[in-house]
Amino acid sequence: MKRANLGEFEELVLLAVASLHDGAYGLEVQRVLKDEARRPVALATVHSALYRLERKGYVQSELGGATRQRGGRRKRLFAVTGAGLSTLAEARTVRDHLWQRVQGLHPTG
Amino acid sequence: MVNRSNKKLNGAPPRLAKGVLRWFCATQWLEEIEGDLEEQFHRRAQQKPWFWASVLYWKDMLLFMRPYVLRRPVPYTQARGPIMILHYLKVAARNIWKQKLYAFINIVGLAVGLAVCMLLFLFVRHEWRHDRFHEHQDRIYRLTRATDLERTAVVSAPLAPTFQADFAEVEHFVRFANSVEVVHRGEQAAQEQVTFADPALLEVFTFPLRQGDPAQALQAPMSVVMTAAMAEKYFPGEDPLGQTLSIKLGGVFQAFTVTGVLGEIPTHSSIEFSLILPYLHIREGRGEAVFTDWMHSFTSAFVLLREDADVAALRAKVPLFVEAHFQERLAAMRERGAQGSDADLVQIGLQPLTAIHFDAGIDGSVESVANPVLLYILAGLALFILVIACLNFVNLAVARAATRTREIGVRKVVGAVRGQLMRQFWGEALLLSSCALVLGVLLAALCLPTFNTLAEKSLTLDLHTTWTTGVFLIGLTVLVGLLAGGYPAAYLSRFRPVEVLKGTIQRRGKRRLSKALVVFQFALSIMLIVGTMLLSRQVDFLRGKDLGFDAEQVVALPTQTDDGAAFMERFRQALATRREVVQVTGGSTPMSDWWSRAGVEIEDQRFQTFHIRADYRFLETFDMDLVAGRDFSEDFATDGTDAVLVNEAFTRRMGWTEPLGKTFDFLGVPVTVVGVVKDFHFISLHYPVGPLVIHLHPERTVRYLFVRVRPTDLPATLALLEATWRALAPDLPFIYRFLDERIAQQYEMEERITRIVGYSAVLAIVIACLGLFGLSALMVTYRTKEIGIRKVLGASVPGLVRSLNTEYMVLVVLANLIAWPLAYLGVEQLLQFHAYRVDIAWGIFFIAGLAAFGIALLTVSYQSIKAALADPVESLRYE
Repeated sequence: MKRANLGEFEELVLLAVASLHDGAYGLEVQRVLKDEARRPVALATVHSALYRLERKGYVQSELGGATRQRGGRRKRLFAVTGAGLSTLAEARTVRDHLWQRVQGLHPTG
Repeated sequence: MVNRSNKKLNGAPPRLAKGVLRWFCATQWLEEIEGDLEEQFHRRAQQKPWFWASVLYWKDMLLFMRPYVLRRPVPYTQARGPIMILHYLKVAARNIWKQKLYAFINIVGLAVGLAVCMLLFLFVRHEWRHDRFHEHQDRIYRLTRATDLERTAVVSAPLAPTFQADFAEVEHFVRFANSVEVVHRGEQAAQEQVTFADPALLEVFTFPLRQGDPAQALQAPMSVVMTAAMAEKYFPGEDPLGQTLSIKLGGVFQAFTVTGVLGEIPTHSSIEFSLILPYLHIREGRGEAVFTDWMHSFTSAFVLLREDADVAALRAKVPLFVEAHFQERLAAMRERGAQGSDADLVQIGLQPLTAIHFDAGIDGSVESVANPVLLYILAGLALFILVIACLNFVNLAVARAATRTREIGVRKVVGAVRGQLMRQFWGEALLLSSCALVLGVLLAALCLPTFNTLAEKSLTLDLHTTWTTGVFLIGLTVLVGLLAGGYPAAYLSRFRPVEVLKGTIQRRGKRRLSKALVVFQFALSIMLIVGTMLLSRQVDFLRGKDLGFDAEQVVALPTQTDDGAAFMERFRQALATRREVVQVTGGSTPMSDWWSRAGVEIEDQRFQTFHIRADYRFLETFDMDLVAGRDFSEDFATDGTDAVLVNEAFTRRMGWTEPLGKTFDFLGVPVTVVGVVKDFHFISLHYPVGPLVIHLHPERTVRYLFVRVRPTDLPATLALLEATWRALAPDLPFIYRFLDERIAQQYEMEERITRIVGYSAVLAIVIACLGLFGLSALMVTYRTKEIGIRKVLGASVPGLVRSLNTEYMVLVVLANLIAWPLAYLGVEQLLQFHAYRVDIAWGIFFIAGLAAFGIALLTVSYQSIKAALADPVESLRYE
């Protein structure tokens, strides 16, 4: 059940949040996606994915970290929950398992 | 500078975009999204120009328009749809039913107000639509002439054709001239108004022909076009087209062929006619020269401009036209002393067709000119009455609030928000005003005939034919409901449930406000009463004033013939032996509404004087007094040409102490003053008596016969006059008019305004009293317990009544104090144009105030006496 709940993009966002440790918020996540995963997406898309993940219980959030750059507005800082981490780990296990089977295969044609 | 502004521009994202975001974004997400977007903007702004960063900001912002971010209504449940509306209706109906008196007062008051407004609307719309039914209404202009002495719509015959010839902008011209001629067919013979008009009439104006060809109808010289009513009169049950009708022109009956029948002329047309003949027939009686005579003014002239014509440019060219064609008139004017350039002395104007109806200041205009004074008075009165009715509504609703505090408290506790309550009360107000609308339409339909008489209109309640009346009424009803219901709705919905349910709130409603409103209502009513009384006194004064001559028992008969003097002689001969007739004379004017003036130059003084072309025995017939000298007499052979009588005003103007024997030039003839007449009011009392010359015209133009009869057995005397007339002039109709009636008619306008103000005063005081009745009933209910306790402690009934009444009667006294000066100013305004007027009697103010006071006292006393007489046991039983 839980597995089916995590889409490919959501998984990427979740990973990005995890990789950013304490500093994950919308704009930063978008930067990671763009610079490191080469997935340029709209800010709104990132936000919607983050809210969705929070509803599913994979991340939790709190407000904080206002700066002058932001016009004095706080960020919503996201952190991965235990459920999120285990889901990520599970996804990775499945992939690793499958990758091992792929070893030694060469592209056809 | 540049740097700083750049910096500033670089500093902030576009404000509008931020506003849009705030508008659609749900509050719980707004802060972080705004922050992220702004941070991103700043990052971009460091690398890119502000413009691109802004564009990207817009794009990213708009992408947030997704369901998860969009603002949602506050998660809050409220009953929607018909259930709540039905509930409100039920509550409203119960409230109306439970408090029939207040509902009645409100509905009746508003209905009267709406009915008055509706009548006024019909009136104003009728005025506005005047002459707007013509297809080319915006291209039709009337030619007018203004000089230093007059502004007139009566011009000479060659003006319009020359105007067309000189200016390419003019497509067509139409001239009209009216006269009264004898029309004859078979048994039917009567005098009819005949209009001579150019053939273009039917093309320029939109008067659809019911029968006949509009392009051909007036082309043939012996053709006649008539209205359907005329066709019905002369050709009952026949097809009039191609038939002939005899019309007496220039003393001879001529046969005209009917070539067209017009539909009814709309009542909102300035141009009216019944029989139209080709214009060339004006030469009959006037001579062929009339077509080229620029000095003979008798016709009205209209032009139709081409669609692409520039009116302003055309007007600018008119002075040259004046220079070219008006030299004869200019010379005549300069001869009598007028000074100025050509263009200043004679101005030919182009007056838009639609402006004609509202131009009361021009001579020789159409019959139906709007009276702006009447219009303003009507509008003001309608507004007064509607306001008084609306105030009733507000007052009673607020005062009655006490009965609904519990309901409001419970509603709020159960979860109603303020908006809901306001909507509920507004809805109730609308329900009441809708009831009032139905009643108001009925009232208006009932009062329409009376109103038509007052306003001299023939308006109809055309709810089924046009939508404008309906739209206006519904709009007005909604407006009244919203305005009148607005304050109560705001007031009632503000109650705090805790205070209401604990019973700590003041339950009497807003006392000070309701008192102020009562004062206002009564002040308006008292003003109207004072106005009515003062105006009717003025009318009585005008009617009863000694005119300086005796108009009673004088019958005026229009001679309708060019040979008036000879006719008068025969008439006088025929009646010389009859005892019923005292004296017969003749004159050029009907002695009331139509006056000739002429310029005179005597001993270096130059002024305009009125003049009457009279006949012998003029003074005797009218019983006028001579101050000095003698009357005209046939014994003096020269009287016929060079004797004049002047009035006292004339001698005062000249400063003569010995006027007899003075000589001066009058209308080109040297004349001698043979007598001075005591001033008499030959002109209506709106104007002061001016200088007057009475002279015997050389040709003795007699347009009117004046016959003084004995007051005994008038019907027989009239029969005698008619028989004499029939014997002497069988083909002329016998038309008579008692002169005093005719003179009294001059004050019709004043009388009409008096009656209108009178009706409004009655309506205003009735509505105000209805409101006061309701208020005092409420007051008594609130004070039931107080009254009971006072009685138990020994208060007397009269003492109680007095103390209850005082509260409201003080207000009426206050209203008087406000109303009196305002009424005084208003009446002063209305009467300022009268040369002769009653003094404003101060007693009238007291009478009006006393009347209002008395009516109010009766109204309030009904309630207070009832309350004071009640058994205290009833009111105190429950304590």
